[in-house]
Amino acid sequence: MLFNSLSFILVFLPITLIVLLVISKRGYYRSSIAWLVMASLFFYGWWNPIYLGLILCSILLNYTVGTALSINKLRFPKKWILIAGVTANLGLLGYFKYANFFINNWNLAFSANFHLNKIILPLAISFFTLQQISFLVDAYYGKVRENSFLKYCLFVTFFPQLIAGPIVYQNEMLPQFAKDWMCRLNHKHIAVGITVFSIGLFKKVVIADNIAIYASPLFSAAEKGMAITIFEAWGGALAYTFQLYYDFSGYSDMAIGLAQMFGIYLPLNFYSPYKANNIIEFWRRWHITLSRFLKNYLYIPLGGNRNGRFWQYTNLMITMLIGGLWHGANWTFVVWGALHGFYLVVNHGWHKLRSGFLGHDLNKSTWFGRGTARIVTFFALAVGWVFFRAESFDGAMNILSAMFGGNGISLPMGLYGKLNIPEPWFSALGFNFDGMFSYNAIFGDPFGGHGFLTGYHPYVGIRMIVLLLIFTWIAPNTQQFMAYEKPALETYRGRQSKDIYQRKQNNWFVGLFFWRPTIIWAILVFLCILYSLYGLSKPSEFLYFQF
Amino acid sequence: MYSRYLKVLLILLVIVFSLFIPGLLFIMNSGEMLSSKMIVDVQLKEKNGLCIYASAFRGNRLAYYKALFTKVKPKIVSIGSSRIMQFRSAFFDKPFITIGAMTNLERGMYFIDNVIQQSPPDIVIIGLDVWWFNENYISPNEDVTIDPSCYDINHRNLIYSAKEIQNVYQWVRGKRITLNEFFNVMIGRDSNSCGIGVRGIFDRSGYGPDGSQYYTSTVTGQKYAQDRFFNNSKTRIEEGRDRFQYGKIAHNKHINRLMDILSTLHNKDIETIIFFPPFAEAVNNAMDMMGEKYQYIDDLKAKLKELGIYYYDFTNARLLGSDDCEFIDGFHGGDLIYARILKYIYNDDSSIREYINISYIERVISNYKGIAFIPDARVTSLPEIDFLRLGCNKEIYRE
Repeated sequence: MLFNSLSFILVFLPITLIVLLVISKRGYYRSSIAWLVMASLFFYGWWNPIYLGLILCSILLNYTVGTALSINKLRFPKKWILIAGVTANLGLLGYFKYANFFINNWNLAFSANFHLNKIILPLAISFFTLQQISFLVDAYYGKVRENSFLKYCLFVTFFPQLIAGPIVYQNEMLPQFAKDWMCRLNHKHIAVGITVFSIGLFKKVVIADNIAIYASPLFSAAEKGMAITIFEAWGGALAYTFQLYYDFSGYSDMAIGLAQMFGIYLPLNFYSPYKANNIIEFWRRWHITLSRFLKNYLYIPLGGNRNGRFWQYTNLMITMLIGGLWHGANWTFVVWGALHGFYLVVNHGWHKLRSGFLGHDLNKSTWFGRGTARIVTFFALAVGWVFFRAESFDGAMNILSAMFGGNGISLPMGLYGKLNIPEPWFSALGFNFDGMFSYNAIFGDPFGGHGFLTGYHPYVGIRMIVLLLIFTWIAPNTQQFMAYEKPALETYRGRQSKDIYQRKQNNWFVGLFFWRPTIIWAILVFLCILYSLYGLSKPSEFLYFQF
Repeated sequence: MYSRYLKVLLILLVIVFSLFIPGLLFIMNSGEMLSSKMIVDVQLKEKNGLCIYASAFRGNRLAYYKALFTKVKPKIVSIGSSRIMQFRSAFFDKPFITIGAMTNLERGMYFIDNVIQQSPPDIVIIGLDVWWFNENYISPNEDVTIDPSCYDINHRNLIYSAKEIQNVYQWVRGKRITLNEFFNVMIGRDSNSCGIGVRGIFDRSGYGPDGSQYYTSTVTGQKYAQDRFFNNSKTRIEEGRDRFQYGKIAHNKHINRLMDILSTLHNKDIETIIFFPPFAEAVNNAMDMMGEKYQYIDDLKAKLKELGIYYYDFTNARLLGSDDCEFIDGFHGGDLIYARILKYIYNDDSSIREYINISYIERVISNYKGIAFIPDARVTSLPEIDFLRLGCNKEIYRE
């Protein structure tokens, strides 16, 4: 069941919430938890009931191992139990996610002929595996204070975060399921939850799904090996840059909003990542719960920055390579991870150079410096997303080559003749007057459909990209917009002091842009929901479901 | 404060949602929300009539065909795009379905890997669309790596927008559906003919229980034929768009994919028959007029010959003794053409003979020359008309 479906919005959500309110009003605490677990399992099984067995086995196994790790006097060394538990989790993930990939590559490398039928990736396995690994590690270090099986089930299956995160820690969630949770099942949390959910719905349905039509044809064309113009390549890459962000941050907002309706706080997953001025900052703002997992459970155990710069950079590369592979069993994800590892190494090296050798104070910067850094960071990210989205390495290279002038620079045909420069000069410089867009071939309408606004016309796409760029850089994020409520657990560790939304919160004019539980805001949120419901025009899954 | 905010918001939402409910009930009771498996069950259980399924919103061909294949376990299968969907089970003596979900070769490979291999038939007839091999054609961007059940949006991942529910009311207002029909479906009152989905019920157009396509509303003139005089096809050719993109070479990547499909089937001891479905003569002529713009088609056929792949080339329907009157549109042949194709293969290839009901095929060919749809009272009592405005005489088949 998708969050952006009427069956979820009109049927599942109201029933789950109303029944919970009725049970909790009567003070049935354990029944309330049990109801949420059942609803969450139903939600998960809606896709394919077969996988219910898988998630239940995984829960049972991890709970047993976790409980064993919490026992002080054990015959076996705890370390081996932990290793066995983590290996079992990784083994399960490895089988479902990487077995086909491994065999294909093995066959390719050694000219072997092993055959394995295509294994279907069970939904959410990448997410609940990480979540449970973190639980085992915490249990090993004696950090788990709660041993209720029911609460553990809810920790893993709680439907707002089950399918695509945020990846939560046990110490964030289990304490919230204590008895005082029932006090949070109130008007305030439902009002805040609906509001945050509607913002997420709008991001997904109105923004992400509509910019997607300018990204998908480009990537399909690249896979076919078609010649792409420089403007098409940048247009498609930038469209995907926004599609991915609004899709995933929309999903995260919806998850946070849903959890709020049930009186639960989920950790923040996005904090305006495209406002980052460098890649280090980007990773503090993008998919925050994955970044912190990789940092706490991979980068730091590998040694982090404790053994000198060489090992710090090596550990960064390893972490990002594994982070890339986590996203999917494809070399394109590995390359994407490697590229981000490289970006991070360069970024750390640059900081070291500036602070160590040049004596710069990294805390001081000019608006020009920050602006330039933000633009460079943004375009570096857009380049990286090409690998992330492309189905093959060749497809990605086809786009990147076009982005950097490999197919020349295509200019509008009408411009030819207006520029009083001899044609050979243009040709020598790589300029062609064959139109900025091969309209019919790529941004035409090969699917017989129409976009939300006026169709697939490339100039509409450009307009949308420019508007989104401005909006993304200027507008407050959901956490800032809801600053008086703080609907999510703070996970952003970056500096906030420079942010206008932090500084001017008490200014009456700026204050108008912060959400308050007023009738005007109720009407605006209603319109936002209505507009989104009208935009639900196709079965559009969230991009992160595939991971 | 929060309570007042919530009250206002919920009152507004309840008002809007309550307006949706009759439309939603109509959609639900028309069978639009049934899962593919349920649709197939209803279709196959129907003994007296012919149950046609077609969604007015969005179906999922892949999931539907997967369910149909799993249930029927056919001995002979045709696979391809919508251009092979006029093969009817009546043409065969053994269990048959046609799978018109192969919008590109990747889809075909996916289907063979994940569905057909589970219960291998004896024979697979593959209809190849030439544009699958064109370097400039972009096939619908459908993800083939995810389990089709995830895409089985009917019933499971239902997403009907407010706009779509509003469509239902607009159909009533525009008199496409009478108020009486709307209420009958909304309250779930049984109708005389079996139909699933709004189009299946009201147009009697869509998928039959063998997976074949019924263009009932088009051939009977209830719905405007988009390709009158083949003008739509000709415009696409002139503008080089919508499958008729120009191209010089047949892409080796796709030819290799076809080879993968053939070798997978061969390894499973499944016999394959390959053919190029026909175009209307007017369309063939229009493509010829474009000179070398469709050079990739000749290139494709030459490459297939080089690779030793035997195929039937029915691009020109005259080879079958057919004419433009037997077409649904410029690139979709009607029932008669596909009966003729089977007769041709029957005469050429002895291995398929025991599967084909040749007496039925010969009877319909001799009785219904020049029409696109073999009359079937279970589908409609309305006669076929000259829906393409080609001057075809179809009156002779009116009863």
